[in-house]
Amino acid sequence: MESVIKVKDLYKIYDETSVEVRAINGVDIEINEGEFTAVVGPSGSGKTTLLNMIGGLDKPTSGNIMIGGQNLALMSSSKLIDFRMHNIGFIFQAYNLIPVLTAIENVEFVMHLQGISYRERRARAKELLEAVGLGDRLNSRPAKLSGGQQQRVAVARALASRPRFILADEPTANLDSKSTENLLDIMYQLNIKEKATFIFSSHDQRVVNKARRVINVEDGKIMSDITK
Amino acid sequence: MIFIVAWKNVWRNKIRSIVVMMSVAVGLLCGIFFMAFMNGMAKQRIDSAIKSEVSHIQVHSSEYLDDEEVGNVIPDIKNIEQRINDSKYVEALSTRIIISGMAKSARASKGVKIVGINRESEQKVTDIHTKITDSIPDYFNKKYPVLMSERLAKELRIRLKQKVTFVFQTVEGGLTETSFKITALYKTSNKVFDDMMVFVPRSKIARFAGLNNNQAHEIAVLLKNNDDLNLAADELKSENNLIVTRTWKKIMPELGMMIDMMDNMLVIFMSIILVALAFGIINTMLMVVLERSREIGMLMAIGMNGKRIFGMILLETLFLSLTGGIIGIIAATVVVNITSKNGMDLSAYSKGLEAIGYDSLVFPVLDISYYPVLILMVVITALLSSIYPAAKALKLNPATAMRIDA
Repeated sequence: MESVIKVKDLYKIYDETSVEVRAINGVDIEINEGEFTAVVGPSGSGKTTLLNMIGGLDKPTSGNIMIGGQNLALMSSSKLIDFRMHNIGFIFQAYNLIPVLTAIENVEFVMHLQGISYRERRARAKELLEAVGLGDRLNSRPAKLSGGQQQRVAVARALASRPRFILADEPTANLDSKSTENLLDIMYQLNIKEKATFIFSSHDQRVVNKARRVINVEDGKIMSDITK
Repeated sequence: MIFIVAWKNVWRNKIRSIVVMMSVAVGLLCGIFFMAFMNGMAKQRIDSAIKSEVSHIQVHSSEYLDDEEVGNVIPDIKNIEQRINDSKYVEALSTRIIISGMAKSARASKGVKIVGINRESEQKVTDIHTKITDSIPDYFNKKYPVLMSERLAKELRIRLKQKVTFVFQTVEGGLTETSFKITALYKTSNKVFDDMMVFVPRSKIARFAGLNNNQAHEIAVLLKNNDDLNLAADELKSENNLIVTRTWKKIMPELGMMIDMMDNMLVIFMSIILVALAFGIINTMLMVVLERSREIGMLMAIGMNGKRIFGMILLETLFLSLTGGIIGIIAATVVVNITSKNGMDLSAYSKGLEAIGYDSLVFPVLDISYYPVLILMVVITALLSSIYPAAKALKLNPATAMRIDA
């Protein structure tokens, strides 16, 4: 299977204060297409920092992140934005939908940025929202949706741009157990149906149970990497 | 779509947006109304100066301008009158004899300018006949009639139908004394004019001063259109060096300067208002960027580039300012229209205003051509005000911005 992400010798060191903090301390990972991977670890272990760097939101202190043959560590900020738009889908812990847009408009937005025609993007947005079970809430604004529903819109949005992989930072942290189960099922099905590669950061046992590969991070290092 | 997002974003915090819009609207309303008020006042002053005092163009002999001596007349007046009347720009003219002298009553005396006019031609050039407050019938067709201001009559302590004696120099250099009967009283808004000017029939004063019918000191010319002022002045300019043709701008340079100053003042005044608004807008937009840091970070994360983020903040600022600007301009148009019809009564300050030649009923007026300029100024202000907040937004790091309140 082709690898989507190759992380080599990755370090992220903060020395804003006199104390040096090694958030990521020499990480090597390879993630293949179609994986459903959970990065787990306690708070402050460095999993969010790792995901941010894989997502091109943060720059490493040293090391390489190769995605589709391109090294993210060497890209300028503006190139990174463009790269993210075409290659990476994001799901955030706090949903982070655009509050003034409806569910379908939120899903369409990234496709609009990609320059996809109205007709085409509307059809895909509708199809994705139906896939996450929100076919009847297309025109609802985020404020009118529950946390679980908002996160499902976020999943649809992340998939809209047909990215190489989807990064989800603690996607279930703000959800109740029913919504969590529901969201995980949806993501699992989309992983199979859309062949979308999912990488989660989480310390939720239900997410860990669902994942096919679990990478355990502690103190910025990979402690274990288990494929079920 | 960014257009729609920007417009919807404006209405996220309705109260704040409305407050900013209202401050733009009220600022513009005040600015435009003040401009219209000052402009109306200046226009009225100029109109009244042209209609009651100087006309558009005046012709004198050059010697008269150096020394207002009785003998310094325009020679061969009929010929010059003919040439002026032939001009396509000219509406009417009035030939005057002007003699400085003393007005005496039994109880007081005062220095005056005795203006000899032909009533028919004067009526076509100035509106002094419309300023008459009290008169006897057919007041200028009497034996020795004089039209005097109420103020002067009061100072001389005489009334309508009473006699006043004028003492002045004749062409020969001697002093002559002659009595006229007050047949009409007038009142203009210019105190200085009222204090000085008395009007008598030209033929009568000419005889006393020793002048003939082909001699006069001044020809006042009224044009069909003030815009032709310079063209007409060029055409009427005499080849004879002894004759001087002057426009009202030259005669009353302070009025010409007033127009230029007014234009500059309006620009300065509007600039001050817009700069104040700009700071308000910058403050609001900085708040917006601060409050939405997380959302802007998310937009950057999902692929919205700097240009688009900048454009979105710029559009939001533009919508905010333009909505306020349009409300302000509509409100100002309504207010200016109402006040320009009814006038603004400043009679409480009429004494002070008259002393400097202004009417106490002011009709604010603003040329329609100012409005697009004002809208453009609002747009430019909005664009400039959005630069700093938008630049602030661009400096956000998506990973850091999304951690805020997370």
